[in-house]
Order: sequence, then structure tokens, then C-alpha cells
Amino acid sequence: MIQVKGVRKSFGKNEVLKGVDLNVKKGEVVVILGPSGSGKTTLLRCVNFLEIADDGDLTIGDLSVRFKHATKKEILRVRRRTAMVFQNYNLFNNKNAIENVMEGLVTARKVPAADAYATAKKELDKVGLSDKYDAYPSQLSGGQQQRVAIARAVSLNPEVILFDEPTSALDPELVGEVLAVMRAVAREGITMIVVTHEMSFAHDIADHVVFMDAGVIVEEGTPKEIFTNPREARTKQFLDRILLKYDYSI
Amino acid sequence: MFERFCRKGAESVAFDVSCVWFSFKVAIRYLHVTLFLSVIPLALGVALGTPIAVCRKFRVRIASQVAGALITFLKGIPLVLYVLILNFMILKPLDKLAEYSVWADKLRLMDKIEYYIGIIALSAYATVVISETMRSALNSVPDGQYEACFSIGLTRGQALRSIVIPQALAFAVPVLCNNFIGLIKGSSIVYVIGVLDILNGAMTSAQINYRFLEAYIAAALIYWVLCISVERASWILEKRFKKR
Amino acid sequence: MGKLFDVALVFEYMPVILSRFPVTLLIVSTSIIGGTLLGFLIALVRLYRVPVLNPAVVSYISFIRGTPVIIQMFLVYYGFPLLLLQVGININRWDKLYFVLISYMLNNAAFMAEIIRSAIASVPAGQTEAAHSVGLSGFQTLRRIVLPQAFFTAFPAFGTRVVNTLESTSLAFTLGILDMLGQAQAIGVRTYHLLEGYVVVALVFIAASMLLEKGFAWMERRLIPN
Repeated sequence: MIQVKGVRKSFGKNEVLKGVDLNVKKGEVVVILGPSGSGKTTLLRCVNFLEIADDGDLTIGDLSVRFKHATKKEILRVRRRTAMVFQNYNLFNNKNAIENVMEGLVTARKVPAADAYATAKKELDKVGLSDKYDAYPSQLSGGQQQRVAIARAVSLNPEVILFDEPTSALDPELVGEVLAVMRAVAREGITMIVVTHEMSFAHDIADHVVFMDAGVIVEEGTPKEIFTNPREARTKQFLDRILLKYDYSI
Repeated sequence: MFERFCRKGAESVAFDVSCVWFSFKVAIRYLHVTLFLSVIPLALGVALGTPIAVCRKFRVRIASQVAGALITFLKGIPLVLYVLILNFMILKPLDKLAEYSVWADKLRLMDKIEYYIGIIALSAYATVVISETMRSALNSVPDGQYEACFSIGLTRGQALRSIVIPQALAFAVPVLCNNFIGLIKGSSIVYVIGVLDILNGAMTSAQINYRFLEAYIAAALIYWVLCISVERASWILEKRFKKR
Repeated sequence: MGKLFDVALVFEYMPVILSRFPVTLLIVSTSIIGGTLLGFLIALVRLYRVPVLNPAVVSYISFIRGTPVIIQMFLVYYGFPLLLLQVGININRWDKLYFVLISYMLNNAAFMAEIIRSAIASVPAGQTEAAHSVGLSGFQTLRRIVLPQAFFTAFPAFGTRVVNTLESTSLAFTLGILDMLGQAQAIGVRTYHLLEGYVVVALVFIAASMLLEKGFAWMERRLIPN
């Protein structure tokens, strides 16, 4: 179970997160929606300590830390229980696909190289890249790179995987393959927190949808509640706009 | 014996290829001096410049500010001034100390002292230049690479070792080769303090026959070949470092 | 001969040495202007692969980049009169400064040629194709579409080149030019106080190169969109 309580974060004078609470149950898929600048990406980055939040608490399983006072050791412990998939993939440019997946296992988790290799192979096969073990990031398409990144995250067997707009940087024709892999990950029962604009994914896969705007959570509920019967005007407005823009039929 | 290589001497105005050959043979004997004067500063520059760059990149308290200010200043000083100032600052105090200590007197009259001063000056200069090379190499690795490292639970040291430094090196190697070429050419400046390197070696031959143009051509050819070789080696290295 | 370093002398020498700064400026400005013009022609030779000239120009650039400036300066000093004598022009009585100006200009021409060439080559071929497709001639395409874009790519490297030229002009004194360093040495010979003069020259170079760097960074921000 992951619990975020009262997280605040400012960049200079600009307060991006104004006290956000989020509860994620084990095995749940939570999708965070919201207009750009609403703070949803910052929230994810705070959970992974890529940004240090100004205030608030984080609980992952039996591990509790205060954002502000977290020691280096605690940060490392949190990071080893979480994994992240980035908008622009961030594969290690100096490593090929299989080495990218192995890196965290071997260096951070101290898994023997042979075992790590077997795990990495298995995960790459699962994302449909069994023919790309030796390919370097520059030789892969965006969709393939993102699938390697997902394999890298899954292989670490984290308590939660954080997806930060995983399909936003992709060409439209490559979005489908990445979403398919994410669906498969969700079906495995892995806890996921996903920031995305893909409404169909949110609708079909999410157990819980959170709508954020201007640094606060405006509304949350099941996909059905949010999509068919939003309570707040801001949610309705956002959904009307985005559904019009993306022209998805739900 | 010299006439055998270069018969005409100064009274003949016309350009004489045989004199180039003669100077070439004299100058090439000092090849190792030029090589030492550029390889040692290159190595010291990497050894001293890299920690400076790391300090500045990760904003290590005090050290990064001091290094930052110092480098910005020293960057503006031409190499020839490094040589002249360090030559003066090393030799003059030794002259004074020589009145009191035999040790200083011995050091002052030591064989090839100007050669060591040249190495010190070139190394100081190389440290400044290479620290900037290393800094831009570290900056060339995008923040996303660090974030990906942290997200899979690597420590900063682990991230540096297995992801950042290998990528930074791929960026740095061609620039370092350029720095090396700069040092090979720059090392010729030590002739102002009388170090017998390729350039000065060629000059000694000209002092015999007064064929200066030919001597300079001979020296130029040696430097040219040296620099082209380093450039070629750089291309090969670059290809090996580049993972497509 | 007194103290090793006398701060008072730094202030005493400062105006004398500063009065020679125009010589440095003259070398930098003429060699940059002349070098850029000549470099542009060389870049065109390389880009259009002009027969005969192209391989000659390639060797020229390689030679300039592969040899020390000092040697280039002396080659010009001893070689130019000999070359011109072949066609009946006697320049043996020329002031040494002219040889320095010529050699720094020839030196910069090679570096500028490379900067300009790679900047022009970096403009995507699609730009040229698009220009042709709307009926622009080859020259119009170069002048109106390619060069303005190449200018932005070349600008930072151009700035670095100017700063490098400034620093390398410190070698002009080896040919006996009375620039700042030449003046410092002249004072040193007279008074046995060399270090103070060197320090003054170093300070002037630090200030000048900082100013140039700041100036180019400022221009870059002003000129270049994004």
C-alpha cells in the first residue's frame, strides 16, 4: 500500500502542489488526469524523490518517511521499492537493451549477473523485444525504447511503478504497442500510478481515477464515476475539452 | 660534415630543399622532448582537471566556488605568459636562495631545469583547459540519465561509474584529442625559455647555416605529421567509443 | 635588484603597457575580418568541391591546424619576401607588423573556413530543396535561406575563435613586435622587473577575454531566437 499525505512543493514562488493526499492499494492501477501544469508529474517525481517535496509524508508498505527530512539512506530505500517509466524513456545510452534491464538488478540489487541476465531476457520477451537484446537505444524506435524502459521497471519487482506520461513523446502509430504492454503489466497485478492523457487507457484499465488541477486533487473515483458522471465543473470542462481533442468514443 | 647536407649556406638566396632535409634531421632528434612536453601535461591535466570538473558539476561547497573563480581567471591568460611567469617565479627565488643554500644553487644550475619549468607551465595550462573539457563532458549527459539511475535505485557513485562517466568519456575523447593537439603545438612556445624541443632543435641547425626559412619548414613538417597522427588516432578512438 | 614583486610597479607599468593594447586589437580585428572573408571563399571552394582548388585548400587547412602559430609567423616572415621576389616585388623593407597581420589572417582563414563550412553543411538539404521549389536561384537560396540559418550555427564558434585569436596574438612579440608583451619585456630589460610587467599583461588579457566572452554571450542571447 502506498500512502502520500499532505505533500507540498513550490518552485520559487510558484506553488505546484498544495497539500495532496493519495492512497493506492496493493495491485491497484491509479490514473492521474489533469491539465498541464496541474502538478501531476511533480507528484510522481516527489514520490520517487527526483524532486524533494517541501512537506508531507510518504508510506510504502512498512516504510514511512517525511519528505523534508528523508536521509540519503531512506531515499535510496524508497527508490529501491519503486520504479519509474519516463516520458522520454531515459534509457542508458551507453548500454544495449538487455544491459539497460540488467543494470538495476546487478548494480543496485546485487543480483548475480547470470540471474539478472535470465530475468532481463524474460522481461524483454514479455514486452515483445526478444529480437532486440543487443540493440542500443539509438537503434530502437520510440515505442521499442519505452517498452525496454517498462521491462527495466518491471524486472526490479517494485511495490509500485510510476508512469510519467509514457506515451506523450511517441508518434501516434507507436502509442498502441506501449499501451498494450502497460495493459499486460496491469493484468499481472502490479501496482501502478499512471499520469497520462490516454482516456481509453484510463477508462479501461484504471481501478481509480484522480483528477488534479492547480496543485490539488479536485475529484477522484472509479472511472465510471469520473467519466460518466463528474461532480465538479472543472472535471467536466477538462473531460469535454480533452475528449473533443482526442476524439475518443467511450 | 654539415656541408654534406646543405652546401650553399647563407650567401645563396634561393630556397634549398637539401637544407630542409638537414634541419629536419637535426630537429627530429628532439621529437621526444616535444612528446614529453605534451603527453605529461595531458596526463596531469586529466588527473587534476577531472576532480575540479566533478567538484563544479556537483557544486561541492567552497571547493566549487574557489575552483570556478580561479578557472574563469586563469582561462584568460595566454600560454606564453604561463611559461614566462612560471619561469621567472621559479628561477628568481632560486637565485636568491642560492646565497644561503647549496641545495638551491644546485637546483638552479640543474641540467635541463628550463625543461622541467616548461612541463610545469604546460601542465598548469592543461589543467585549466581540460577541467573545462571535463565539465562540458559531464554536462553533455542529460539529466534524464541521472534520473533513470536514481529511479532504479543506483547511488550517485554507482550512477557516475556505470552510466554517466562512460557517456561523458565518449564526449570527452575527441575533445581531449583536440586539447592534445593544442598542447603539441603549444609546447613549441617553451622555446622562449630556451628548451631544446623540435622548434629550437631546428633553430640550432639554422644557426649553423643561416637557412632560417628551411629550418622553420622542417619544424613545421614534423609538427604537422604529429598532429595529423593524433587526429587519425582520435577518429579511431571516437569510433570505438561511439555505441552508434 | 630588490624585491621579487613590487605591487607599486604594477600600477606604474599599467599605463605604459596599456598604451600598446591597440596593437593587439589591430592584430585581432584585421585577422578576424580578413580571415572571415578569406575563410568564406575557402569554405565555398570546399562546399562546391571546386576542382584543383579543393584538395589544395584541404591541405592548407590541415597545415594551419597542425602547426604552431609561431612557426606560421616565421614562415610568413621569411617565406613571403622570397615568394614575392619571384614575381619581382621586393617587400624586404616592410614593417614586421605587416607580416604578423598577414600570418594571423592566414591562420584565421583556415579556422573560419571550417566554422563556415560546417555551419552551412548543417543546414538541412530540405531547406535548399524547398527554396528551389519556390523558384529561387542557387545564389538566392544561399543568400536568403542557407546563410541566415548557418549564421546562427556559426556564431558561438566564431566567438570562441575571436577569444582564441586574442590569446594567440600574445606570440607576436617573438617576431619583435612592440605589443603589450614586447613592452613588458623592454621594461624588464631596463629595470630587471619582469614579473610586474607580465602580471599587467596577464591582467589585461584576463579582462579583455572576459569582456569578449560576456559580449558574445550577450549577442548570442539577443541575436539567436531560442
